[in-house]
Amino acid sequence: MNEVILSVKNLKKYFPIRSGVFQKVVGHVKAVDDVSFELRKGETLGLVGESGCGKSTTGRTILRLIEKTEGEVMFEGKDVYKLSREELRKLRPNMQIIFQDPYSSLNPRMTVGEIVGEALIEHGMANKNTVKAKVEEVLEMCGLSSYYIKRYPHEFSGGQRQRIGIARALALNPKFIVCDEPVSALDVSIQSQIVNLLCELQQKFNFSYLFISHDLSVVKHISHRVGVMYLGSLVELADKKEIFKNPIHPYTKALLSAVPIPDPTLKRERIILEGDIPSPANPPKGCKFHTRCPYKMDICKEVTPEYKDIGNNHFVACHLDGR
Amino acid sequence: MQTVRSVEAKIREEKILGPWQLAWIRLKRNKLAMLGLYILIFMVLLSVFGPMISPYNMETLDLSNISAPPSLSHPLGTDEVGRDVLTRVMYAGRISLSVGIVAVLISVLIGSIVGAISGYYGGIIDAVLMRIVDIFMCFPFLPLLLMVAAVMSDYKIHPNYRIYVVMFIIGILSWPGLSRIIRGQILSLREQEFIQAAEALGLRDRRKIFRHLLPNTFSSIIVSATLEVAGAILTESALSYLGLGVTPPTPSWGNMVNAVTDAYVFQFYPWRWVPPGICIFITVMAINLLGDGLRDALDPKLKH
Amino acid sequence: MDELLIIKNLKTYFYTDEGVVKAVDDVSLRINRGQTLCIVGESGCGKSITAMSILRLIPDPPGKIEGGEIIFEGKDLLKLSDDEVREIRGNKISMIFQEPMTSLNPVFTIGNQIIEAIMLHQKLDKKEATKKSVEALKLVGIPRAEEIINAYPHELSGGMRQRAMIAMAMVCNPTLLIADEPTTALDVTIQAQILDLMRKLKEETKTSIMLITHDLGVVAEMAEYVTVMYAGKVVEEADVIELFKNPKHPYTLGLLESKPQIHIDKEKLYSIPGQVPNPFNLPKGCYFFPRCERAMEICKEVMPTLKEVGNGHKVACHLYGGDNNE
Ligand SMILES: Nc1ncnc2c1ncn2[C@@H]1O[C@H](COP(=O)(O)OP(=O)(O)OP(=O)(O)O)[C@@H](O)[C@H]1O
Ligand SMILES: Nc1ncnc2c1ncn2[C@@H]1O[C@H](COP(=O)(O)OP(=O)(O)OP(=O)(O)O)[C@@H](O)[C@H]1O
Ligand code: SF4
Ligand code: SF4
Ligand SMILES: [Mg+2]
Ligand SMILES: [Mg+2]
Repeated sequence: MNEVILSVKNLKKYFPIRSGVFQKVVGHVKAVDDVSFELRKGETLGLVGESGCGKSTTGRTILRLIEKTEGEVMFEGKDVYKLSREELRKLRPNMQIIFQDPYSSLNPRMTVGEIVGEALIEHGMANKNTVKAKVEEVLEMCGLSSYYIKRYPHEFSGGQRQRIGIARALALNPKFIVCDEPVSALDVSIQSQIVNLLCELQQKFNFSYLFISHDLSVVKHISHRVGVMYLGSLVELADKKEIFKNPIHPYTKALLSAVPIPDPTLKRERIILEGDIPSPANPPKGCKFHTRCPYKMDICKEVTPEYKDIGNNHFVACHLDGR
Repeated sequence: MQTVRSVEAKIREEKILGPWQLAWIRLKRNKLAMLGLYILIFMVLLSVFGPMISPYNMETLDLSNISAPPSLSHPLGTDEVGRDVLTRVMYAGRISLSVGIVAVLISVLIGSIVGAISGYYGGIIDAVLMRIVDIFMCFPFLPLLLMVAAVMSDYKIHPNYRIYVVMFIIGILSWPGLSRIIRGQILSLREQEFIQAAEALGLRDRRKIFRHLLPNTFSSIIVSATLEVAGAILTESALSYLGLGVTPPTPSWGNMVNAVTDAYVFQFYPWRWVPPGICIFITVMAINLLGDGLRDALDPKLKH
Repeated sequence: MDELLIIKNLKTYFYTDEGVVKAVDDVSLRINRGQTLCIVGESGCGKSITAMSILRLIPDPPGKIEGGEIIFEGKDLLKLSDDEVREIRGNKISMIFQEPMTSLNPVFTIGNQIIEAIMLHQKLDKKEATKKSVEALKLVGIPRAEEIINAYPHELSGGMRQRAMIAMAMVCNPTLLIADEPTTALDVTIQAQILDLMRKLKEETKTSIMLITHDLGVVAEMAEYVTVMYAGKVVEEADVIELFKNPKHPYTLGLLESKPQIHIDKEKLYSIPGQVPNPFNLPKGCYFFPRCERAMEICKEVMPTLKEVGNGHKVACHLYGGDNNE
């Protein structure tokens, strides 16, 4: 748990907004706006935040599935954005992704065996004769019977499809996996199966996960550290225990207090946020959260709070820090 | 644990149905489409084997028996030089159907590759290819065709070779439409997560295009190709009328209908133009029925 | 207590090419006035279809209500004419649908749609209705209500749309509000806003709420009474505190165990083995049998019935009461 495997510095991704007949760029959606963090070997970093705050975009920009606007992504000491296409392609097996939607992320016209095995062949990790055995092994590891190998995705339930997606990523022996809401589309009873599977695999193979989710209770269960995003920026990042016990940023506090607890006898003080999330195309000046913050001060409207370590590896971006 | 085993054992016994098998099952439920399919098979069999079992040769003249009305020995009568109309209709079927099919194969080949490359790479490659498509779409083909026909006549090109030229021309005429359709589909498929997954796996472009993208457009390729066969048969007959299509003495359904040059033939020798006309009509209709059925059956949202 | 809605032995089936789906199979429920009933269960267990059966919104074909009674304020809704049902829909009973975008008409403004509902059911003129709609939008916490009333659905965010739906459902002061997963598509902070809002509205207007969800946290927060469904059947029902303190059915237990909880640390999550059964191929006995860790011989053959086990707690499982133990 020491070696840094991934380091992201000042990552930005702006999507152009086009309009009019000539598709002129009239503005930018600041989907990811200056995000920095590090991920160590065998560690899980949870990434939480409201829908549209840029979690998926962060994950995909790190893997260079979409191009960045600015910033730096170092994976095992190599700058992902300085590699040629072919070099990147060769690096891909080391960094994988599990998608949120187990339906659209599997090619409906390929069998499970092809889905899991094709990249093995493509990267020379197996040949036509050995691939079947390997695929069977990975499927079994993910809790799927190996005789599913000739079946098509439409014959599986959501949970099973998600396992196929996991098997596809694992087959390549990756070191780092972006889990983009891998359980959000699943039923509670299936969710826990997948979460347990991911935990087990991590213990076995020392994977590093970037675990994206909006379900705080799942993130709390699976992560070692947790980052909270709001409107494209990280507002707080700390050790799991620390952030759940001692949240500093008002948004984190609101988020934590809003999670419904399945215990009807427990009544809590709840912070209800006013208003809606501002548009990421036109984020508020100063602190992006000031339009909804219950503690906002005059300075917040003008000055963007710095994202800094307040000790204990607890990063936070708020003018209130330390108080 | 025992129960889990028994469930798995049951799954093992279940038949595995691929997407194509499912599509076939759905198609079989569609009565109209199946009718279209049966008619089409009948027409194909008739064209392929009909001329072989016919006692007449389609080119044998019988000047003693000119424009004879239908009779027992000539079920559809004879034409102006005494050839058996039934034999010629069946033989013409070979020509018309193969013109349709080959032209569409050419069109599918060019159209899907251009469409796929254009949609996949986007940017400048897309812009260039789509301008070429535009040029093809607004190119004045009729004058060109008239020219080609004139040249072919001048050089006395044998009718059998002219067929290939016609196939080629029709194929060239119709690929731009198809490539637009494929490009549109690829553009929307490219946004799907499984393509991002393919990218994340580090697959090569070739594999992504030919294994991931194009197979998912097969259903629309098949549907438009089917409908295009009908279009090609009609185009061929229209071209024949201008003297650009397949030229006599090689018969095609188109040029047989177009052999009617005056009201007299039209009125008094209907057996010379009605049968090929009916053939065109029911073949095109059958293909359209089948195409519509395929469209429903191949619905990519694989409902289970 | 004063019963508002009683569903007795409701059966709603779908006739598909592959076979009959018994989406709702012999379900009985009741909701008292001013009470919140939560229905929980896995995706596809028939929660939405139960709700839609109440409003007689089942697409026919392929669906059909095959039996049972739905008694609302003493009248059997299944015996009313279509016109009478339409009179009740949106007036006495309103529904918030699972997917807000599909239930708002994209070509009319939000205001148009609310005003129309008010004019139709409350016989107010346009001016009063407009005033009332603005009030309703303000009540659900939509800022700039006067402007939003002229906005089209696509111009609103998901949370605003859902709130507009709630405003629309609440304007006519329904006696029963059916909310089908009103917050599933939303974020926790917006979800908290909306749950808070529904609770306030209920206190103010004494509306009964039938809340469908699969989030046990939401259940604990909102419900007074809970019904757990599995594969088209009710497997357990009880008062909310009783259910969470003393869950009985192995499926309910599994659900409660498998959800990670933010205030409790666990080494490993419990998970119910296996999958939801295929609706065309349900087991003969207890539908939960293939996944149940406490299954017995009898469970394979005999379907358990819903029985009272004390405290108003009902459960359908051979482990409790009757068939087996006594
Ligand atoms: N291809 C794109 N073009 C333009 N804008 C985009 C694109 N992809 C994402 N965005 C915008 O970027 C922002 C962040 O999107 P992203 O998908 O990363 O959010 P998210 O945090 O993953 O949300 P969710 O929880 O809903 O998945 C959103 O406002 C979205 O509208
Ligand atoms: N139009 C339909 N045709 C056939 N079957 C249907 C139809 N609508 C629903 N069903 C079936 O009825 C069953 C119950 O569906 P329902 O929508 O009530 O589930 P649900 O409990 O609301 O699930 P979710 O949590 O996913 O909303 C499902 O098995 C579904 O497949
Ligand atoms: S900087 Fe100000 S507005 Fe922003 S979160 Fe902190 S207190 Fe609130
Ligand atoms: S009846 Fe039997 S199988 Fe069903 S839940 Fe109870 S113990 Fe399990
Ligand atoms: Mg996302
Ligand atoms: Mg539902």
